[in-house]
Amino acid sequence: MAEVDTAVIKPEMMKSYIWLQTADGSIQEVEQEVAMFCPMICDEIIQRGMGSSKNNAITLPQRVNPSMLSLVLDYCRFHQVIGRSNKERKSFDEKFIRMDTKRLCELTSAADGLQLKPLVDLTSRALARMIEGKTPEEIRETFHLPDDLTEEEKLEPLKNITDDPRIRLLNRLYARKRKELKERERLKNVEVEEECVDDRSVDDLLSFINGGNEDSKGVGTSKNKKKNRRRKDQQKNTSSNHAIETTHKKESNCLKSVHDDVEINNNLQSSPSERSKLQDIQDDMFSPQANFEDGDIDDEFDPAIQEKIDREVEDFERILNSDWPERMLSLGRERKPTVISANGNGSLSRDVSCFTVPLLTYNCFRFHCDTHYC
Amino acid sequence: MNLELLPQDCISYILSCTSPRDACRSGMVSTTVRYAGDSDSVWEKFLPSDYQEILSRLVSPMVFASKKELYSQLCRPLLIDEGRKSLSISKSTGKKCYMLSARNLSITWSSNALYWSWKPLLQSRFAEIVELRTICWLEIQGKISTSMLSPKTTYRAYLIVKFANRAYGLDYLPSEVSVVVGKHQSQGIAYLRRPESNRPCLERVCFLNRMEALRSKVSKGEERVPYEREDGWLEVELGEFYNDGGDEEVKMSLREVKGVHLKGGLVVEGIEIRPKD
Repeated sequence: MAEVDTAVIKPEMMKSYIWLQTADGSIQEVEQEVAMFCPMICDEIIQRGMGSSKNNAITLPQRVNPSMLSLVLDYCRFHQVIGRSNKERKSFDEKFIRMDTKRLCELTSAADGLQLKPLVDLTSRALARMIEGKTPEEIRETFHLPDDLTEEEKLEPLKNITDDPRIRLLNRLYARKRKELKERERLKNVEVEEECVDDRSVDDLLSFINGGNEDSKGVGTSKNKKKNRRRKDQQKNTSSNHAIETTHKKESNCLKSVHDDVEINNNLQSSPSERSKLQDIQDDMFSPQANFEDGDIDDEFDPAIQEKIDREVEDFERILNSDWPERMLSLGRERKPTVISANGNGSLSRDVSCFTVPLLTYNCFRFHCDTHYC
Repeated sequence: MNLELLPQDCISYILSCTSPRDACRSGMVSTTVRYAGDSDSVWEKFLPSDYQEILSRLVSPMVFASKKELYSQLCRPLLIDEGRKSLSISKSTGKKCYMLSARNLSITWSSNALYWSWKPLLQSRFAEIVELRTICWLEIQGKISTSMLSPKTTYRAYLIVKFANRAYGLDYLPSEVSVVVGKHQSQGIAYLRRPESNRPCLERVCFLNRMEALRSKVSKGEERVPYEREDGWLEVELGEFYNDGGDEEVKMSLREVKGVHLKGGLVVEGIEIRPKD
């Protein structure tokens, strides 16, 4: 059993010593009162009775190497003296942690291993001060960290809770980049197949349109014809889905994302600015986790989402069946002022301009509301 | 030996000593740091200490998968206390920010439909706002307990208003604004008019003498100018105070009672109390 020091003992009297062994095998003698400042060593002495002689030295955790141990002991030696003022302790601490980041990390690790909470706090806070305000690049440099996030991980969609337009744009940009990555990978594997699929689907689309055209003209369509068309649809669905999607995409892309592209191109002007933009957006968002709320049309590599989109497209197809050829034809016609025809049941009428009716009424409503308060 | 070789909870502890912004940015550094930064222990430290209680007061229950997600969801204003107040936390510091709805304020004569009318408004986050029809005694007061706010923070109170097209009489005399907490008082004056209008209007010229006489009766103080907010409303600063964590009542008020003329057209959404940035 180790002897316990009491305060009454005069300093000239012999102090107790404890034996500590570090991972590299070296054993050293340390004043007990200093070593007892570390809870882990304290436990070992009191509960397991270790450390009293060279033979049963306390084995320290592996991350405590001799140089770190001496630093820790210096810390303990200063702080275990009761008579020191807070000011003294504080100034000692400030001088103590002045070391390079590598040693600071080692010291944190050692202090953690010895369960010396005050020192862990001190070193962690010093490291936190080094991290604060730095960009990820700078953090990687300071701490020599590997840049091991995959491109995809870095491009995970950002959660757009506040519907910030910048985040929406960035998510679209990420989705596009993800698509590019996927495309690149797919191209590496299956190049020839891709082209064939595309060709087939264009033909399918044309025959599908022509088949639909016949039916819409006749009012009293026979059930057989309808059934056949349905069956044709079913067969072609799987292959023409891709086509319909691409056509939908093309249309909607044309309609809405022309100026989006311009904006995104502006963002991509120079890579440093892009990176800083990423920083700014990172500042704005708080969870780079997978989120498909903002996924849009570009987000189609997930098979579940793909199926969902396929099903939606099928439904839309069926609704649009009779009108599809009309619309295709009318696009070639000149524009002439058409009569606005509102349908009671809200179904799509033959008239192309029925699409403008909801828009007009919406605008009127908005204007009405806005005039009230400024 | 570098940061990566520290145990996960050590890295988490280090990140929890930084700020929410840095902890979020750490997600782009490397996989170990990202994993440490996403851990609940880090974000629990950034959330307000009474976040469990806040969750129980929410009007619509919140679903979250991690503390980090909870933090980001709380950054939007959310209705609490049956829709009488709204709460959000400041993104960069995690400090609480409240808005008291008009129903939660005590507005003199507001129950009389002749003077004030309550109605819903699309642009407001609350169910109702109150509009001044006409009155000569304009007094709006709000109260909040400092125990609801984040400790060790300087807060500022703002009155959130709009001016209807027909607004009149509000800026003949400056209104007296004040914030009182215990012994501390912060006072000022504010002209209730849209920020871009400096109206050298005819009435002022005609009644200049009278105006001067009346204005001398109004207590002096620093002038606060209404400021346009992002959500389309205007805010008038009422005052500021320091919350050291005690449990005191903060009284915030705006009064225009010295002028006996009629005023109208003021639309009040509420009073916002947020940390001074």
